[in-house]
Amino acid sequence: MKTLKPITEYTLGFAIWMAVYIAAVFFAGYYFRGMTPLGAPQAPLLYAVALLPSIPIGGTILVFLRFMDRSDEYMRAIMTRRFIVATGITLFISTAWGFLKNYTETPGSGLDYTYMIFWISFAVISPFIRDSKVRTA
Amino acid sequence: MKTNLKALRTEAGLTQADLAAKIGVSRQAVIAIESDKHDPSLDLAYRIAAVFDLPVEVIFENPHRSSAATTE
Repeated sequence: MKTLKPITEYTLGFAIWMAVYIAAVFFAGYYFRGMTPLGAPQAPLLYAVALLPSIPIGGTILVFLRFMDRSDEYMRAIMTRRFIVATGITLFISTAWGFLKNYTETPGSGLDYTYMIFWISFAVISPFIRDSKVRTA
Repeated sequence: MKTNLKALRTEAGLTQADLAAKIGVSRQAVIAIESDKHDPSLDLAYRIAAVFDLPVEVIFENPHRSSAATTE
């Protein structure tokens, strides 16, 4: 069997897990409005459905790690830098948003946005991080 | 790290994709090395040197050689 190129495998794997994530988010939304054949939300199923959208996160991280394993040193270096910067942006936004929510009238539902914030940050910064070297001069 | 990889590659009639295939990396990695956006590991530098049958320091300038010589 022909082995997929690392970038093809990454794109495909990522798309599949993102589709699963979106499906899980919609399913959970419909379930908690009582709009599925499962009827009104009740324990213990409601805990399982509430946790369902978080499961694909593990899938995307595994796809990411496999891409790192199969890539060359340059791709590995820039993906690591992008991951670190995206993590920093996510931590900053989440923390700032949390404090704003606590002390002001800033709206927000909770930590469920964190995953999206991370990948949006990753996508936005990626075109700007193409250099594996940290230039200090 | 300064390199004359692009000149050597062109002289040898190789495309970036050809060289990438010979040294087992992506074309993006070759582009990054040629444009000084990535310093290759010692192993990758040796693989590149083997393709051109040249010593590593002919392809990549040793930035420490002159200072090392003066401190000895």
